[in-house]
Amino acid sequence: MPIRIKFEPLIYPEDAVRRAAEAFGDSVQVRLETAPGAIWAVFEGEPEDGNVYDEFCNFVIAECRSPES
Amino acid sequence: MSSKNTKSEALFPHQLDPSNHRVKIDVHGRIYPLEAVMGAAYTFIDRAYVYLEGTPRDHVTVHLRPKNGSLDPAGAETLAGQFQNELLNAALRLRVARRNQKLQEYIVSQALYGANPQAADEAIDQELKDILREAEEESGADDPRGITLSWEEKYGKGKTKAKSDADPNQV
Repeated sequence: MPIRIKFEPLIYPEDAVRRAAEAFGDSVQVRLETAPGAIWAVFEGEPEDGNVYDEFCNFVIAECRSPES
Repeated sequence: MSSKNTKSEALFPHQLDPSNHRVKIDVHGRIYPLEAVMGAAYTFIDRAYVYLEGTPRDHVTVHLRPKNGSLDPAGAETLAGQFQNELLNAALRLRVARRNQKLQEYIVSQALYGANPQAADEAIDQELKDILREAEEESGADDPRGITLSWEEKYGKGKTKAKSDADPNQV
């Protein structure tokens, strides 16, 4: 069963979530689904590191603080 | 999700979720802007896992889970307190930065001008030319009736001649 994490677009810019998904693409299978009022990060499979979902959220926050956002 | 309020609820509006070793902090959106919340969250990502949810205009809920794993009520209180302090710090820095923005820009521009005044003058000249050109283009585009055109530009010499060649007695 895939793990789904919701990112509020008013808090997290979509670009930041997208860059995080690209960065985590090698370590975990992740895809983005956009819906009105929500950006979903959908994780497939069993990651080796159980903290990968939380690390993903931290990465998004770091990306939000980057000058590109 | 079972959660219980800690004793320090009166001081910091936070809740401890013992099953997940998480602490949840509610931040009022009208007091703390999202930039401040994000700034405070950023300073915590080296020691905790952070997740934000909510609507920035109303309230934002901050979820914190320490990276070292366990979290007891005292640890939750400490973590929440540290986050609140950092939040206040970030909000204040943001306010000061906004207040001093014009002054900072002025200082930087003066420093750049002092370093190379000729280049700065050229840049200003170029910027003025660009502004004038854009203004001319815009005025032309927004003048469908040709009000800004001179008489010669609007009617041309041919029409002038044709009018002067007309019979002066004809009314």
